[in-house]
Amino acid sequence: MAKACKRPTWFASVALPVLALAASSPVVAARTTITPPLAPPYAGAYQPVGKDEIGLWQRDDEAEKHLAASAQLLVAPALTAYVHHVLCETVGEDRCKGVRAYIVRDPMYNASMSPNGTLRVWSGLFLRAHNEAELGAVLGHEFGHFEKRHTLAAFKGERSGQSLLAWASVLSIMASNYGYRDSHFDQMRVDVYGNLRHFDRDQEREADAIGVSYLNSSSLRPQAAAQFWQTVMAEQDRSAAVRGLKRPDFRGVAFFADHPPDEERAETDARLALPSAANREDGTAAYRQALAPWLPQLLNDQLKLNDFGGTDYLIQAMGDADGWSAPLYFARGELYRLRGNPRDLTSAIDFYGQAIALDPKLADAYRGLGLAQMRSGLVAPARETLSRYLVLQPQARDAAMIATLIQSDGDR
Amino acid sequence: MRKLAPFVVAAFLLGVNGAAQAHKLEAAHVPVKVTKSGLTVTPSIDWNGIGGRHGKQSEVWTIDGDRLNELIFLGGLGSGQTLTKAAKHVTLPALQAKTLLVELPDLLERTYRVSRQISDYTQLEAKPRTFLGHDGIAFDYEFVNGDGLHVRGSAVATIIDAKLYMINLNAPRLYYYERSKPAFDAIVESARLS
Repeated sequence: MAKACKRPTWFASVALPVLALAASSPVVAARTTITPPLAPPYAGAYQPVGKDEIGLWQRDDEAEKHLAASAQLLVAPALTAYVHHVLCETVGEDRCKGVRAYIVRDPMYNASMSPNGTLRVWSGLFLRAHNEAELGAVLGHEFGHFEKRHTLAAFKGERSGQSLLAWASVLSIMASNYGYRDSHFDQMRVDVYGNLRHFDRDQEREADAIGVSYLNSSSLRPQAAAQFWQTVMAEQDRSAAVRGLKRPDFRGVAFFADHPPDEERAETDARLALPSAANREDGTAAYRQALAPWLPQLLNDQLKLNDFGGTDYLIQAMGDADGWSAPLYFARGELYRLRGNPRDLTSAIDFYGQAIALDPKLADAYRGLGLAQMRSGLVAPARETLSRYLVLQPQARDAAMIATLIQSDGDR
Repeated sequence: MRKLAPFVVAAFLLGVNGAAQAHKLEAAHVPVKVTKSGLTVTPSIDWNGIGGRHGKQSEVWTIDGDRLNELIFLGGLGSGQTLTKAAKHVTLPALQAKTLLVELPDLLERTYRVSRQISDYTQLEAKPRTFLGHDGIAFDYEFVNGDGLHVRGSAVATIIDAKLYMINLNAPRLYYYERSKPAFDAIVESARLS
């Protein structure tokens, strides 16, 4: 009996540290290294291999059917085709053919690519990218995940880690029955989760490197990848500053972070970009043209996030890069009116005025201008401006309310 | 066991009482004060009161559950206050001293987009109507919620002495909105401020 008692205790005391060591070893999560090679061409009619991959594809096929019928999908055939075109420009015609692109109406910036070749782009990305090259950098990054089968590798890593922890917990319970207690299991749990997130971050680094290598081989300017991250950081910076929050940490890596820090990504992307390609076209004019029909809606979705600093930065960055247009002036007017401090209303009146100067038939600019004037106590000009709004848009959803406001003394 | 019986009964009664406080019956045709703001309404059917989850000056009622019909009362909100509560890092739009009635649909839209993480929201018709004896606004809206469900809403509001009073219904567009709307209309019609 004493012998039997000793063996499991000894076994657990040895096995747990061994398993703990395994948790932090490449067995659980083979770490990838940053190399910028161009991946082999993707075969368009690829069929999944093995139980895991077949299962992932089946799940993704269902998710894609759901997405195609989703109310959150932006039904924009021309813009969707343009996204696919930019992807092809970035990764090459031989790779992009099998990809199906979808635009999800969400004002945050994101994109993803599923194992079965479904590309999802969140509409907020269009306001952060300023040209085809920047959009291509994001799409190329996602395509890198797809081509390297990162989802499958992450799934396998996660499963191995969970299995390891399950067995370790059994051993840990056995050991405690024999009066043996140590902290190896807790340490192992930390190691496993830490390794899995580290693995995620390395996958992101690899996808970044692949994304830039696609741009290097394309006709687009690869330096745009780093520029995109500079924009993202500047937006977050401004957003935090206006909210009175601490400046975001763009360099630190949190334990559970599944992406590398933004500053590292910007630096790596800049380093990997081909110096001789710095003078290439970045496709600003074509990008602006493709986006134009959707710009008012994209700006409206962004405005309603109630993020004054971030939104003001984005509008200004677009204005400075692409030139100030009526929709941009109008959006800035709305932003300032909605915040609504007296000084904001003065600025809003100015921005609406510039929007109207560029587009005298922009009805909503008259609405915004009239409301800003009314709130500033400029009742007579407000009545005139709001009347113009009703002439331009007699069927407006709030026409009856505006008509009432015109007849009032402006207090409500 | 006999000695324990009174304690068991007391615990049971406390439990029942606790549940009643969490989901209070708002009985049909019985006037009731809501939001501690002097607002009194008389429902036409039985509702369930499910607390003030949108802030101290709010109250929520439902018929079938708050995901199927959510009736929100806001009473006496002043300048700087928001239409709901949110996590600390989330900045909600606030009512301003000079907010116009016609701007209230925007305020609600921005609140919903941020607090409920909605990206597809559409304002529908907004028209004047008298509410609580003052000039007010009645407006409709639609949004797609996190489950991909189309939700329709109607709200009636007014601003009295720089204080906002609003009754707001939202329910899935399919079946539940139409089912709840007459009861909402009856509550709005019955609303009085004392």
